[in-house]
This record gives sequence, structure tokens and C-alpha cells, in this order.
Amino acid sequence: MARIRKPGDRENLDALILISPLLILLSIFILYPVLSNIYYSFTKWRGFGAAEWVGLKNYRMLISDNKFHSALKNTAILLLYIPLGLLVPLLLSAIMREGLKGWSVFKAILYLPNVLGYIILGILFSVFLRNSGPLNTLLRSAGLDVLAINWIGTTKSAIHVVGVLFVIWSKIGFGCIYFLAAMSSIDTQLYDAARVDGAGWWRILFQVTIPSIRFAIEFWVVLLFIEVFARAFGFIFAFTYGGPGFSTWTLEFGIYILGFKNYQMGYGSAWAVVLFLFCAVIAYFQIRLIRRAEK
Amino acid sequence: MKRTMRILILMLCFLTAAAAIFAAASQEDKSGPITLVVWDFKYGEAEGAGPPFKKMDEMFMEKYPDVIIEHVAQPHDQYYEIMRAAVSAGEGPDVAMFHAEQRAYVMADFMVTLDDWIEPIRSEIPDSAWIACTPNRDFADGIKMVPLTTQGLGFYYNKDLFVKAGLDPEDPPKDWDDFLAACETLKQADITPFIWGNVPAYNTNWFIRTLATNFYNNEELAGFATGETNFTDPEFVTAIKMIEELRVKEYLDPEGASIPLFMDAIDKFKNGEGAIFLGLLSDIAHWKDFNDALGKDKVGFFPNINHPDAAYSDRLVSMGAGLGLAIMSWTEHTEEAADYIMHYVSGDAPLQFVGQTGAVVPNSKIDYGALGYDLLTEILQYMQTNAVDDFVAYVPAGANNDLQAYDELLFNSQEISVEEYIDFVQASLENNR
Repeated sequence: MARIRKPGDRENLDALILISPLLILLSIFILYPVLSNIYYSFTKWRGFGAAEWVGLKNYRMLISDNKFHSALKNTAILLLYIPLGLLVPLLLSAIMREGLKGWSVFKAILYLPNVLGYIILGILFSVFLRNSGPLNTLLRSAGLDVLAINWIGTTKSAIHVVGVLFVIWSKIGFGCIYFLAAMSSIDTQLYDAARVDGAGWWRILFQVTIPSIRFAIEFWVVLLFIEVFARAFGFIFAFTYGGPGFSTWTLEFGIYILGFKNYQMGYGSAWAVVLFLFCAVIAYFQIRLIRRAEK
Repeated sequence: MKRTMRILILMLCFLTAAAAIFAAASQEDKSGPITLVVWDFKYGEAEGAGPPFKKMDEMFMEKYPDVIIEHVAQPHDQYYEIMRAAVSAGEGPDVAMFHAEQRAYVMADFMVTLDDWIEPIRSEIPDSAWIACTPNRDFADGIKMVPLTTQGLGFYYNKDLFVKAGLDPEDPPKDWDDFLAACETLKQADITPFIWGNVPAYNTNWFIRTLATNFYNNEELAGFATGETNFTDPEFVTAIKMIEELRVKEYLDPEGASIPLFMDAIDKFKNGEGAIFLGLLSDIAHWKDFNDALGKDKVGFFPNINHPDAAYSDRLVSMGAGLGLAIMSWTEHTEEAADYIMHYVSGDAPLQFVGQTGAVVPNSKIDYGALGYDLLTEILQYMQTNAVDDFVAYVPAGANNDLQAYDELLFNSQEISVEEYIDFVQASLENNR
């Protein structure tokens, strides 16, 4: 006698068949690279040809490698710019939400970095901010010699310039559009009620606007973390190429140089495992945020 | 159940159709002429190597009508990453251009050994160029490419600016003291003595490589690979201190610490904004570039700065071969590919390349005199008599990249001392060996 299938079983089977192409693609393009990267992190490998098993040697090298220390420190410094990367677009969008005179022009200007892209921005600023570049020439001609510092020519300032430009400035445009969209969903009666109660601009911002778009803010912070960990490469490559010295190396930039320029793909894979662990932690919190929002 | 079957059949149809389209697209017509795929990073140059390469390809296809050349211009910056992806996949071009150095030789296992193929032209090209086409400067490893250009480094100077400062334009500095005195004279005459561009630190890297040839012989230079020669050696430290002294005495263009070599610094020298420049002998920033910009009799050359502590003098750093062409091991057309690469370095074709680009081709049958550049004749003389290996041929790629990073900290931002620099680069050399 044939077994009678429940309707739920059939739906599960259909669902499995439908998602199987995606599962296959994810296995090929995500799971396999991650697992093979972990394997190669225990090898000495040029990126092609045979890999030689070296055990934990690459991880021991990490501990004593000042390039790695520099990359970790720089990544941490960029992370410290995230609060500003949140506050600046949030405040600007709160101002623009009020309908600032000529705000559509401001919106266009603020969105410009997103139109240009990281490579063009990097090249433009590498010329603009060089010691003998237009900015310092302008400052010197205005008698502001004290401000004409070697912006990207010293280890002290270069990573901070990267932080300001990449984490804050380049995200302003998209951030404003994103927060304005989130703010547009806030019931205007809340603002009216707050005004009737005598609340000022700042109080409305902190007690009406921010609580109302809390999820959008949390998601933006997660997005900035991802940008710092996994998307700064293009900008740094074009802007400073990691220099001077290793002062603007980040983990992902180091992975590129070690793997593709130094032919140390095995050692670079060990760096990638460290980066993967950081990203996994962020992804974990991101998933928790989404689940909490769903509840 | 029917619905599941329908979905399965639909998916099967989709996969079959996709496979059929893919197979049709990748099917090669075996009956027609052979297509040789060539990759290089110079072909895209509209005013450089591109036009002569096109002409050389046309000449080849006229001579071999059964071969079609599909010449692909790859980006220069990412060329080795693209090439390595091809090597990992085991498929790519039949013929590929490389720099005759470690970046290429890590892929030597995937290049056809050419010793037998090149026999007809072997005598036209000196052994100094052929040996640079072997992975470890050893003929026992086999020749892996044909040398398209020969390459080296040397000091070019602007004769007009020498005259303006009161220096004899026909008598370049003979030794270190002479050099310092000439720089001081130029500086006093409000002329920037030395043009450089060190972001990233290519120019100081060239400087170190040039000075090293006066301090080490070829065996000692090879010791950088084995550990017998080190960055802590007094010779190497002296070379670093020489560059540092030039910086401290403000003989190096102060702008050089924040501008790139390509093309900003090169253009500054070509515009007459400084008196001396450490340039290449071939490819770019070379004798033809500078002669055409400043005038044929306005540019002088000397191969090195002679330090009293150095064992040798007037030595010219030479890579033997600059660019080379290799046949990749997966090609099915080795014979045609061998004809093609030999066509590029022998017979009439190289003349196209030399005449239009200023590249120096290591073929002894080329009549350089016909080009009418006296400066080239002088450089060729040094190449024949004073050429020494480039230490980069022996220093691992990772150590050389780190060397440049620490160059930036020492010479550009001045954030580390010479002693710290030496400690850092030596540690890197040991880690990368």
C-alpha cells in the first residue's frame, strides 16, 4: 500500500527543489571558498601550483608581523569613526527633513560621492591632499600655513584622513537618502504633538525621530562595520596604496598585497581567516537585529 | 506529485538549454586557420608600443597566412593577477608578455622551455639577455622567454641646466664628492638638483638597486636570495645613507616625497624642472623620451654614483632582459607560437619597436646608429662593458615590496631612522626567504 504523503511534505520537497539551485551556487561560491581558504591558511602556497602544509606557522607569523599589527590598529581606528559616520548623515537628514531652503541642491551635492565611486574619489583626493597639492597651496596662499599639514604623507595623519573621507564623507549622501526615507515613515502627528508640548528641535530629534527610526539606525551601523571591514579596499588602493609604509593597511588590503603582490597566498589566507572571524561576529549581531525587528 | 514532476522537468530543460548554449559558444572551428592568443600589458598604448605591435603582428600574419593573431591588451596594473588566474585555471593565452623577473618566474612551471625552439636565433642575442630569461639566472633551468627588450637604470642630466649653474655639461660627476658638489652648485643656482617621485617608493628602490651594483659583484648580489648577503651589510647601509644624505641636504626635489614617479616626476624632468633624474634605459622614461623632450644634444648620462667605499665604479644595473615573451604550457600551437615570439625579437620586426618606442632590443643585428641618438650609443657602450645584475632578481618579491614601504617611512615621511630601517628590512628579508 502506497504511503500517503501529507500536504506539508510535498510543499517541503517543492521548496527544497526550488531553492536547490541557490544552495548549489552558495556552496560553490561561498562555502567552498571559505573552507578552502581555511585549509590554505595552514599552507605555504603561491596562489597556484602545489601547496605545502606548514601547520600553524602562518598564524605564528601573524603574531610577530608588524604589518598585521598595523592593519589591526588601522581597522580599529576606522571603526572609531563609525559614530561620526552615523551622526553626520543623521543630523543632516534631520535638518533636511524640515525642508531647508534649496535642500534639493544640497541633496545633489551630498550624493555626489556615491555617484563618483571609491576609485575616482581615491585618485582625486590623492592629488588634492598631497603635500604640494591644491588644498595646501590654497591654505598657504591664504596665510594658513599651520593648517597645511602633510595630510596623507605621514603615518600619524593618513589613517585619520582615510577615516574622515571613507567612513564619514563618502557615506553622507547615501546615509541622508536612507535616513530621510526612514524619517518619511514617521507619523507627522507625533511631531505636532511634541511641538504642542513645547519640545525644541533637539528634543524632537532625540525623543521622536531617533526612537522612531531605531531599526534603521542599527542597520546603518551594521552597514558601516561591513564597509570598514570588507569594502575599504578600493578606496585605499586608489588613495594611498596602503602607505606611507603600512600606515593605511587594513586587513583586506593586506590580504590583497600578500596574496596577489607578494605571492604569499597561504599567509594571506591566514589574514583572511581573521577577517572572516570579525565579519562572522558582525553577521551574528546583524541577524539578531533583524530577528528582533521581526518580533 | 505532478507539480513536483513539472518543476523537475522545467529545471532539467533549463539546465540542458544552458549547457547546449555554453557548449556551442565554446566550440572551436578546427578547420580554419590557427588562432594564436597573445596577452600583453603594452598593446593598449595608443602612442607607445601599441602601433608597432600591431604592425609586427601584421608582418607575422603576412608571413604565416595560416595563423591569426588575437592580440589582447590587458591592464598593466592588474596583469600579474590576471595571468595568475589563467595559470590557476590552466587555460589562457598561447603567448604572454612578462617582465623578466620574479613576478614572472614564479609561474615558470607553466611556461614552455624554449632552448630547442630558439636555436635559430640564439646567437643574435647575447647570453647576458638569455640568462635573464631563465628563472634563477641559470641556463640549467631552461630559457623560459625570449627577451623583447633589455632594461637597466641610469642617471640622465639636463645639460642646459648644468650650463646655467656653471657646471661642465660634458663632464658629469665622477664620484660621490663630485656629485655632492654638483648638487650644491645646482642648488645655489636655484635649480632643483634631483627630480624624483616616490609615491609609491619606486624611485628610491631604483636608487638602491643602482647604487648596489657598485658595492656588490654578481655572486654577492645572488647572496640576497641565499642569506650570504644581507641588508645589514655595511655596503647596503652606506648605499641607504647616500640617499639619506641627498635628502637631508635638500638635493632631492621636496615635492618628490608626495608625487608619483609615473608620470609626474618623469614629466617634471622632461619639462626641465630639475637637473638630474634616475631613469630607465628602455620601455619608458628613457633616452628617447628625454632626448625628444629636451633636445638630442641636451641630455647627458652616467651609469652610477661612485662612492669611495664601493668596490666598483661606473657599473650599470642591468636586468639583461626587461620584457619577454613566453609560450604557455597549455598551448596546442607551440610551433606557431615559437615562430611568433622569434619574429618579435629577430629579423625586421624589432626595428619597428625600437624606432617608435625607444626600447632597447638586445639583438646584436639591430643598427642603432641609424636612429641618430648619440646618447643611446653611449648607453649601449656601458651596457656592453659595465652591466651588472639587478639585486631585485634575487630579493623575494615580498621583501622588495616591504623595502619600498619602509623607503616611504625613511625618505618620504622621515618617521624612522636609518638604523630602524635596516632592522625592519632585514627582518622582512629573512621572513620572505
